[in-house]
Amino acid sequence: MKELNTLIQDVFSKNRAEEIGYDVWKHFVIPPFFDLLDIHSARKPRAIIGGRGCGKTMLLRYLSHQSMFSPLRDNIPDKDLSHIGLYWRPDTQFCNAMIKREVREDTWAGSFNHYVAIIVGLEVIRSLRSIANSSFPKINEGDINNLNFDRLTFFNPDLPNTFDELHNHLEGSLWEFESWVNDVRKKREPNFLPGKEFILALITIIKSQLSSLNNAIFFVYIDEFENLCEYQQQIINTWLKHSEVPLIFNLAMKRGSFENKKTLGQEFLADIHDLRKHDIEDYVLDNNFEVFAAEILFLTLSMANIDFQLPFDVNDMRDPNKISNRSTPDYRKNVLTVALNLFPQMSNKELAHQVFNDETLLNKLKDRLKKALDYRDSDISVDNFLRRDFPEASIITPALLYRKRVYPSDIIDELNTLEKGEHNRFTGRTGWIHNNFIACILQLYAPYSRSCPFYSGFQTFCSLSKGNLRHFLELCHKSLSKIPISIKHLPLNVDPGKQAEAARQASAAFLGEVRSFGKYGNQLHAFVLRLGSLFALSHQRLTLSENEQSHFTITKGFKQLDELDYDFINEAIKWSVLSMHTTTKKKDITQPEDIEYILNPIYAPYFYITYRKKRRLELSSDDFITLIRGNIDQFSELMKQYRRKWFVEADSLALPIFSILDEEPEC
Amino acid sequence: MLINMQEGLSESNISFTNHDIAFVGEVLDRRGERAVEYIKSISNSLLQLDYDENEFTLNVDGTIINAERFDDYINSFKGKSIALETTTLGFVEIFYCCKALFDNKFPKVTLLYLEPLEYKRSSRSQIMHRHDFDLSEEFAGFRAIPGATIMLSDRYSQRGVFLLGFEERRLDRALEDYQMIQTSKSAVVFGVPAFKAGWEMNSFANNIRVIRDKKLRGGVHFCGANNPLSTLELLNKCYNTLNTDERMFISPIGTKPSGIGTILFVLEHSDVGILYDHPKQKSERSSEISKWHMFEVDF
Repeated sequence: MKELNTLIQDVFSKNRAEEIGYDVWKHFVIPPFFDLLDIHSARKPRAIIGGRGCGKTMLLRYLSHQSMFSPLRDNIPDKDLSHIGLYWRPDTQFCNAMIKREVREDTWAGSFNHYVAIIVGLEVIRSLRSIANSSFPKINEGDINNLNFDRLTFFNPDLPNTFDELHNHLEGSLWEFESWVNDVRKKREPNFLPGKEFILALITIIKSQLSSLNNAIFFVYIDEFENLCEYQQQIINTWLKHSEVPLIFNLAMKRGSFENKKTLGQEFLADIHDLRKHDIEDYVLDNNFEVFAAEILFLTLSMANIDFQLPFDVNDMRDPNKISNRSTPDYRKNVLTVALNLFPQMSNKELAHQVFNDETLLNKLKDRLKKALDYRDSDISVDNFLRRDFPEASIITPALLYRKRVYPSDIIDELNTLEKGEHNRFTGRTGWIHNNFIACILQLYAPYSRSCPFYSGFQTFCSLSKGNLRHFLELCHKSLSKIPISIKHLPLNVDPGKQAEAARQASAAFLGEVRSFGKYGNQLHAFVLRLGSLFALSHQRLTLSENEQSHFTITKGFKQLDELDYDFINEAIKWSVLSMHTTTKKKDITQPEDIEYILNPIYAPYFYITYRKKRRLELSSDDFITLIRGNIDQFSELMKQYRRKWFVEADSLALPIFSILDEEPEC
Repeated sequence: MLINMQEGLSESNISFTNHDIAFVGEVLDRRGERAVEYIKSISNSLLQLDYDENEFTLNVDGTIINAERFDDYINSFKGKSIALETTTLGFVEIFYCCKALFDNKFPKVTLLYLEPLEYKRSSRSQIMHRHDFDLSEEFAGFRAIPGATIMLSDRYSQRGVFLLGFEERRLDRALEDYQMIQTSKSAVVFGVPAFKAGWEMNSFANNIRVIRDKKLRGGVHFCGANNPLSTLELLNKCYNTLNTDERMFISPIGTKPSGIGTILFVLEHSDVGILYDHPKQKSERSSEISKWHMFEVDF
């Protein structure tokens, strides 16, 4: 046994890129899709797209000079100069002050140019400092201190000519600029620098004096592009359209928010011609997310000196040249085995046994059986349906009993044939267990607000996080926090029940965050509560004929969605509350595409609903409108309608998960 | 700057002299209605103010003016006594009034504020979410206020001070939208004593998740929810502990009196910025009136 020398509960204290700082080299796991970004040969601007938590900021920081030329990195090759990343996340509330206010539009355009010139100019200077302080042998402090910037005085005669003085001067200009934006009427307007031209001149001057930078290319990554003002976006789009070596402008933004593609001229940005889109969320999900997530987990643990005696080298995860080593079946199997041992998952049989071993759950099952038999006017004893050796089958029998086409005696016959090992409808092609088991388990747990171990296991955590690394790490963090502090030795594993508790806590916490999601935060929060409650209600259907519904389509109703409703849907997608999926109706490819909306699975444990994409719910536009903007009475009425339609027991709406219905009418 | 504060259970407990001009905001509830009625009774002229954060303009009784020109407008009242009805006026309106009076060297301003007896609870479950309150519609989002604008950056040392109220989403959104805010250095301020004994628990319970999740570690402070002077003193203390290379910004997302304290502080510290989210307040957000306050500020 190996002793832990770090409190495992503290390992994930920093799980956001912003907390780590700009140099993320040590923390960054080269993602399996890294080669798709074509960092060293592509010259076309990139649009990096992804929602919160998908690792976009971490990637952008990794691509930046602070990480690429990190002092922690040995042996930096020449080719890394072909991508010197300059990351800028604009302060959008400040940028939004650069409009109107009785200032001419061309003055604001000039001021934004000036702002970018200073910010990116400073970043160019800092990048040289990073390179000089790194292990890259061809540039040192002396080289950059000898640089002469005399030619910059063409832009402004006050600009100094030495490296340090220029750095200080630009910083001073930034404060001067802030002061002017704050009080445009009384403060003197600064002598505006032209944005792109100034940066290009700065780079040209540097390259002309440092021959080792001959092939250097500077890539500016502008984050949160979607939150800039329209004219500011147009200026950047113009630079992006005309980007060429050695200065390439790139964008980063949330999904569904690349709306403004106008340039300052007549042209628009064209997706393939002018830039290459990289949807990080898609890349993460489509490229062995489970292995990638496990690698991030193990690198984090190893950095906290928690050695899992892993059968692989975590240092390989930091090396772009080792991606292929990490894609072999053996490597993947090794990584997943360790992860599955740390967060074990319960099989369906184990979940079923747990019900039989838990008096409360067993009583609930008996109660459900009794009610179902009463409903069918059957006098068969409940005990005939409880087969301890076949708990999975026993657990689904109440749902089967409510189905009119199946007689209680048929179910007994099928249970008997199952026991005899003969062909039966529980395990045979009819797949009663396969189709109904999880839904029945969730029905048993929901009334007691107990954590359901269905939400445990490493693979489940991957499904719940659906490409969101922040969600994944939080699930791991909350689970590991439940290991008793007294446990100080490896090997470690977290009890599935504790994992499920952690999942429910994380789910509730992430649900709470929704209120901070942009302009419709409160409305989005109410929508998730309502939609989650509706899915929870569908999970309470007695027959479970359409079970595990967790996504929906919108069908035609009396009312039509208006522009604001579509804007709301876009916001829900932008903030990853919903994801969108288009499908062609399989039976007829000439039919129009259906759009399916999937509730983020991280909210599933809160509502005791499935995180699996199984069956969809068809919501009329009227019902959908009620979910997004109906008042509480309309929503309560909607729930009652569905309760009747879905054949849900009347008292189900009194369950704690439906507490949203206890609301008072709005004033 | 001197602040003379009076409080009482009704208007008869405070001595509010007649004023030439009083600025008021939109009436949203009975409390606002009462406050405006009262100030109208002791003022020769009443003017309604409304700030538009998208246009950076003030609507003064139907006339739209650039908010940054409000000091020119106020200058025409030179020599007259001015009162602000701050129960109904929004934070930004109070800011521009005070700034214009201060910049134009008016000797003083009097502010009236009526505390609520109860705030409107959220329509969500009382059992599961008993700390929820329904005070604001959606927020416009954090938008700069010309005259108190700051450029947020994680490149330079900045210390944020968040004056908190009941609605934790305001703090959450600030930190979600502006991830360059250096949370390790940002302080939070709770209004304690609260308007009413026990109300501080609403602020604690609601904000604690955000403070913990977003790792705000720059200190926890307390100052009276209805006491602008204590806010002013606290902000002075925070300011005095700044390192030479540090900047400070304040996010007044708590009670109105704490917002008034913020404004008075910023008037004297032009290097300090304000981060504000411009909530659209709900009608009937409070019921009944608790204490009456008069803050007489001697510039």
